[in-house]
This record gives sequence, structure tokens and C-alpha cells, in this order.
Amino acid sequence: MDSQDSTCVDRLFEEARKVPVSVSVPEVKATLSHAAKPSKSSIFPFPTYSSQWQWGIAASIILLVGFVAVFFRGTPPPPANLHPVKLTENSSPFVLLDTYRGEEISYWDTSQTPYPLLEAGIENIRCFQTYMEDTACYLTVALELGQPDLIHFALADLTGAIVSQLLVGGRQYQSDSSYNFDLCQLQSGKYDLLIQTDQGDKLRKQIVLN
Amino acid sequence: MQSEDFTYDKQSAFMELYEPIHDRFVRFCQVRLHNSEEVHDLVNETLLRAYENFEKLRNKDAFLYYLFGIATRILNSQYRKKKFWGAYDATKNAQIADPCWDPSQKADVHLLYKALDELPSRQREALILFEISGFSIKEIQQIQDSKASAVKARLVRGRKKLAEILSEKK
Repeated sequence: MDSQDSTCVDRLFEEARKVPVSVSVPEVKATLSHAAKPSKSSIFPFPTYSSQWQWGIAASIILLVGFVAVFFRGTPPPPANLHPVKLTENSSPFVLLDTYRGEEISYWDTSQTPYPLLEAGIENIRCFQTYMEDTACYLTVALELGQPDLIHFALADLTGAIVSQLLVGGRQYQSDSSYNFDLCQLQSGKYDLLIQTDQGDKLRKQIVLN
Repeated sequence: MQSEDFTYDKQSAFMELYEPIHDRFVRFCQVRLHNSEEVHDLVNETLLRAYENFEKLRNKDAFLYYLFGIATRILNSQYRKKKFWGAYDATKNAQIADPCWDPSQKADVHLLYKALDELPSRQREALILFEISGFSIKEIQQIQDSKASAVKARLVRGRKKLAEILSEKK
């Protein structure tokens, strides 16, 4: 490096040293004073200005809770398009609860007893009916009073005609080619109802009878 | 009341160490980031992080190393993130008002900043700290956690390389 280069470098450094400082001490003090006040909006009990850390912990907690929930549930959750149905008998009329959506979607109605059941001589039943958008059919679930093992499932089309039905308890009355029922008893009072449509689509409803 | 006193004590203790090096620290940030808005952000972020963890700094003599260490880590992290940012818009950048200094000096200083950017990071840091911020060799030793001979070597080599880069640019 010759003396000319050195002078040039020195001159540039001299110029750079003249550049005024763009942040003042009072500004720094104001920033620190602001930092000392805890943020009221923070939902976390940690100091402020570490939002990435906070969100990291929050995400870990959510993942952990999700993992525990899935792990202890035993069975994987149903796909989003399948609505588990819960039937409770806490009062009369009975209420069908859609546990997936957490809302009441149908009521027991003894006046809607499907006529094939009456034809078959099954009386003294309670049933509920709900419209299933995914099959454009009415699903009827009927309980024979005094005989809790006899549960009748029937699918009826929009005109009210039964297209498929199944009776739990060993007696099958009628089966139609349009829809096929497949029922699996998961545990006492809890059923997994598989409905296969004529297009081959499979739907699953989980039904809990209390 | 007690917590307010504690906050006040903490702030005054922090400022006691920081205030004497304020100008030199900001100048270091200005050279590393040519944009004044980014300098503001870097200074604020560094100070907030340093202030937040100030209680953990047991040896207050290590304050320089602590503060510049935080600033360097933020700069490195920004550099990594910038790889994923959009393209640099020179026109927009030119429209940002820069109240800092005389435009006639600006071109020369900008040239120097650009040349400094081409140096290896430790050499660049040593040169900025010594030549522009005005830290002594002993202070740079603390900041870079190095021996005096290593700092001196960086300064000599850095100046030599800088002169070469500048003569090439001319």
C-alpha cells in the first residue's frame, strides 16, 4: 500500500467519522422506559419483546395437547366430512346431538315411526329422524322400548320410501341395493354406522345411545 | 413501588455503562447498515435485548463484548433472513429522506461503506470499531474477545485490503 492509498483511506475514514449519529441518547432512554413497562396485551407471563419465543412455547403446548388428545382417544378422529352423532335420553322427547358440530339437529318423534317397522309388528318404539345432506336421505334410528339391543336403522328417500334398513339384534328385514348399511358395535350403546351409497361413497356416523 | 425502583435502578445502571459508548455504538451500526431506518431498528433491538438480559451480565466489564455480540448476532440473523426477502429497490431506497449528512460527503462515505462490506467480517468489524467508532485497541480486544496482536493484525491487513478495493473501484 503506497502513501497515496493510505492518505485516501485516511481521508475516507475522516469523512465517515463526521457522519452525525442518527439516534440520540434521549431516544434510547425513551425506548428503555417503554421496555420496562410490562405489556398488558400479552397473555403470557413472560417479559415482553420475545414474541417469537412466546409463540414457540404456545405452539409447543398446542401440539402437546393435540398429541395427548389423539393418543388417549384410542381411535383416530373421524374425517371432517363425517359427523359423529350422539343420542341422549336425558328428557322426553329425546335429543339427537351432533357432537361434531356440538348442536341439536333432531328430536325423537314417535309419530315418525317408519311403517315397515309397524308392518313387521314392532311396536312401542321411539325413533328419531334426521336429514343427511351427504346422502340426501333421512336416517331413522328406532329403539324398541324394553329391548335396548334391538335398534333399527333405516334410510328413507325424500318421498319417505325406505331404501335400506337394518335391525340390530339379529333380525334383518330389508336391504336395498341403493344403500348398504354396515354396523359395527364399538362398545355398549356405541355404534359405528357405515353407509355405502349407490355411487360407492362411504359415509360413517358414530352413534351413541345413552 | 419496589418494582418501579428496581426498574429505575436497572435503567440507570444500564445507561451508566451505555451512555459513554452511545455515539461509537450507533456509528458502528450506521456503517454496517447503510440505511438510516434500519440503523434505528438495529440500535433499538440490540439495546432492548441487552437491557432485558442485563441482570444476567455478571461481569459489567464485559459490557462491550455483550452489547456488540448482540448487535452482531442480529446483523447475522438479518443477513440470513434477507436471502429470502424481495429484490432491493434502488429507486425506492433513494426516495427515503436521509437527514444525516452533507450530500457532498455522501458519495465518498458510501464508497467506503461498500468497500468495507467486501472485507472479511472480523477485519471489517475491527476497522469500523477502530477507525470510525473510535474504540481503542484494548476495547476492541474486549469486543472481539481476541489478543491485542490479533486485533492489530486485522487492522493492518484490513487497511491494506481496503486500499486495494478502493483503488480498484476508482
